[in-house]
Amino acid sequence: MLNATVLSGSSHVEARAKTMYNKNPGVLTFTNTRIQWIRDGENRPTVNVAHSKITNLFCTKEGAPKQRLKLNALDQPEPYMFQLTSPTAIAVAELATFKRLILEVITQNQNLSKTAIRAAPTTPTVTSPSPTPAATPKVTPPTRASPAPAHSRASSAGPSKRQAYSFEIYQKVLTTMPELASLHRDLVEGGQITEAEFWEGREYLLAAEFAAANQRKGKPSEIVVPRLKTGEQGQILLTLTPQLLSDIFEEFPIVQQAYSENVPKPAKAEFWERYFSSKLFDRHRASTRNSVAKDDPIFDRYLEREDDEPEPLHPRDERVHLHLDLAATEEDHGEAIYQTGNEKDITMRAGKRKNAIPLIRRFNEHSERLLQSALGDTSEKHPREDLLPQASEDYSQIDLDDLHQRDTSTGISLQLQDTQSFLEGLGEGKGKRGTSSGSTVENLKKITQDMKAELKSWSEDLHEFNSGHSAGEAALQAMTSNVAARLETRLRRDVIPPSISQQMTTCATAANEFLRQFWTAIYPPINEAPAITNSTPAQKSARMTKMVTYLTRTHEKVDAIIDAAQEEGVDLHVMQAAFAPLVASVDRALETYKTRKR
Amino acid sequence: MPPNRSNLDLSDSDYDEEVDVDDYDGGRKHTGKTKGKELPKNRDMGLGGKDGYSWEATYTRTWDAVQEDEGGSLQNAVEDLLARGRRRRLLAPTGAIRRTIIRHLVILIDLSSSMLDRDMRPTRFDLTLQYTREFIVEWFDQNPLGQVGIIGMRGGLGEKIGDMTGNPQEILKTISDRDKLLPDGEPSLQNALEMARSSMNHLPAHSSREVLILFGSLTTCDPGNIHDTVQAAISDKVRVSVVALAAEMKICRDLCNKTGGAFGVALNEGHYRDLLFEAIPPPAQRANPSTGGSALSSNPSSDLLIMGFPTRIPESSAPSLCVCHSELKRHGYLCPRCLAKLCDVPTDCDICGLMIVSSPHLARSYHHLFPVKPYQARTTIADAAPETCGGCSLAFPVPRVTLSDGSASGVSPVGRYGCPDCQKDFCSDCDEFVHSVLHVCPGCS
Repeated sequence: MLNATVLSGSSHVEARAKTMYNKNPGVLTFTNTRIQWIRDGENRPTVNVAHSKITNLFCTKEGAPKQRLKLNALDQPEPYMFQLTSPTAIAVAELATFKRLILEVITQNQNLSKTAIRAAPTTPTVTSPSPTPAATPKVTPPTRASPAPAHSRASSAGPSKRQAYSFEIYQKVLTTMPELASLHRDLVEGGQITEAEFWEGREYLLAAEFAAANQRKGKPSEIVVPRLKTGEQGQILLTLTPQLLSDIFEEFPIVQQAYSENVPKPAKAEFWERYFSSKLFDRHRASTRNSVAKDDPIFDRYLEREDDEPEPLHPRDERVHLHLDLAATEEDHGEAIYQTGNEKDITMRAGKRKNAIPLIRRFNEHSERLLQSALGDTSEKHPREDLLPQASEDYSQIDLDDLHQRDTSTGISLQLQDTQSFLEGLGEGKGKRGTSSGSTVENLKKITQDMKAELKSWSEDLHEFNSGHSAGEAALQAMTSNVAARLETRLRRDVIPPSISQQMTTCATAANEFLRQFWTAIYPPINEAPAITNSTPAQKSARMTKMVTYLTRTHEKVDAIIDAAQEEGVDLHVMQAAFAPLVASVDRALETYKTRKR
Repeated sequence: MPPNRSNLDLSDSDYDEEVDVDDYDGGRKHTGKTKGKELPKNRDMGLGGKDGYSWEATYTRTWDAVQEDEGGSLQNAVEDLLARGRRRRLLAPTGAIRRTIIRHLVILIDLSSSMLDRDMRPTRFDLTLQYTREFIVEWFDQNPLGQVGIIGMRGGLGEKIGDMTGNPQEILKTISDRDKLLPDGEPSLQNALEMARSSMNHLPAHSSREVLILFGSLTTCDPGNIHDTVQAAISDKVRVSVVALAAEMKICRDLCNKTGGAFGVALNEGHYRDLLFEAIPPPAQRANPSTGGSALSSNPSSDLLIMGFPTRIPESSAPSLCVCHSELKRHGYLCPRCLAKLCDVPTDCDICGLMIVSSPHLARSYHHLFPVKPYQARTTIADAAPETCGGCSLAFPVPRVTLSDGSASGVSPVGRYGCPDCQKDFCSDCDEFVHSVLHVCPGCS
């Protein structure tokens, strides 16, 4: 949005149409670089999509009463929906033009991305000093890295040091903070301070926005369950979405195998219909409920033996950590119970309920698959302890963490210089106050004794107590006047016209930003965050001088606003009081600058 | 764990495993193990089913330990139990150690659908919100120089609920609307941790970076490898603590162990609160564990930090523009370095970045650094001992002969606790009050 004016100058419009977007009228334009939508009466585009970002397009069919256009773009979860508002005949023509132009862009984008992927593995053959360049390039098998993994993360940390954030991040921060945006507009676009200077000291905003924007959802851990609905006539309906199908394929590779081997024969719809009523599907369900599944010649071929034997059908090929291995103490529970007296632990009696075993194993396999998709290949990235070679590892494996003595160190002891005198100093202060009248220890003892004697009959003394009127009244008077003063200032509403207060705010925020720049040049913030710019001392002093020139003008600006306010009838004192802290802090900054220069 | 014989005399029963909870803990202390956090876990394991192992019987029939006195009243026994509980809490080692006073904490609240479970009343979600509010109030009371932010875990993403702020009212406002926080979907530890980490990345080295996770789910739904995130948290010196509401998860315990935080599983509502409130005292600075505690890291030098004490502008002064909102406000504080007018302290000056505090804030933080020494339980009454408590001036209770020798758990049989410095005696109530509220010994000062 910020650079829209720049861009629109160098592009030419290829198509234009009146549209409604988000229930607002406006104009949709197709230029040679991007698609924009500008709301009527505004000059900045609300929607601004670069051609390279467009991924998909949907249009209403010909003959539909309303001409609509739906646009999908990268980094945009919601599609853009436009409705063409011109008279039908014109709208149809406009829609056709847009459709043609956008489809061209989309095919271009697709081709680009394909070549990009294809280019990657073949480049090494070009650069390698191969003796036979004419020979067919060796097709390197597609490495794991080439297609982007579905659930990968950009990086676990934020952008590395000094790496700039993308334009979208800046834009998002500004749109969520309108005050900052207006300041940015005034100062940066007005050319008074540079973009880098503006963001210096505000990096944390960008970092937080970056972290929020780069979140990705993980793969849900639920097992795929197609939701069956009962239709009006009692038939069972199931809506197959491409997402559901790909989930099923991923979850049950056997179904994918069946699909690829058979599908043209039973048509796609029939394939799924038969699958969902087959025994195979029954086997894949996340429950032990038995339903009446029909025999199916196709799917029964893929049916495996029910996995309910003590030994699993798909044994895990990794060695189980001894601590987790339920069968690790097998030998202690020999068959002859009368010899050892040991019954098998409840956890060792696998298969007590036979029909639960397949379900448990199905869940286990599912979790394993899920973990692998999240962690990547565990054996490479994180060698788990249980995959380490055996031998002497046995003892370390049964070494329970809980049995170790915790680190009992309480922490680094506080070594305050001269702690004793510090604490005594506290006491002394009190002592001095007590003895300030020059009394000695004996004196003090006498005083306490006297006081004790006096206090013995305190309740009787209290009866005779008479405070006298004047003291009480004076105290009350003082309190009342205090409250009255507060009330007065609170009740007095000095009406400052909105236009003036607007000017005041703008002037104050700008001056504050200059002040901030000035002070950060003197005292750079002590943080560990990667700064976008690390300015040199020379740059800093240059910046300081620049800010000082701006700050010297603040007085004039403030005076101008005060004059304007007086014309509107606002009290001079009110305005001066309002600006007092600002003026004082500007003066302080100028003073500091002078003393530093010397 | 050998059962403590001395306590067995108390009970008529001849169950060999009849050791009550307090004694169990007392015995642990002798082995030098830390207490508190570990205890619930063992209790957790102990709450097994009927056909469990014999050691699990430790916690059955605890009522046998409660004895009636001659008059048939249980009051003495109950008081005794209360005193034991108090002493246990107060006996934590208290020496002057380095603690982080300027704290930054991000609370990660699980807002996944598992928080709708009713195993804690009314629901885990409602209880968590209620406790979080109490926690924040207490936290700011004890750590006036700290800042708190809140992030929710909902629908597989981290969701910023409250920005880091030092103003308790502001942060309480963000979690006041229950309907905006209704649980949904699955939680993602990784996303939320990354978010918390990035929101604390810019903090200077003298402030702590802490994350407290209130976790009700048994799963986490992450986009990538969470072990990378754990590593990143370690290298960023983020201390992560978890209070789990369901059960112990290995990833959570590992996360806490590796980052130096505490892990606990809440058994019930009260225990949940206890675990949560254990995060209130500022954490001790520890020697860097990764460097193996070399001579250098065991006592690293510290730097001085510049702080400014502001000038307060009274409520009755004429309104003027503030720096933080650019609005006309009456009261405020003037930064001593750049004279900018700020709305609230403690804060970092918006203009010059100076840390601005008021002296009460510092003073309130100091008691963590100079704790009151634990009072010693008196076993006998000295001849010259006063008859009334040094704190509340009430008479000490008449010593009960029936009482067991509770020296193992640090309970005084005569109900007197003496300050090691001023040698004055205090009653059990005052002992607790001094250590948990007053933070200064009335006898010494």
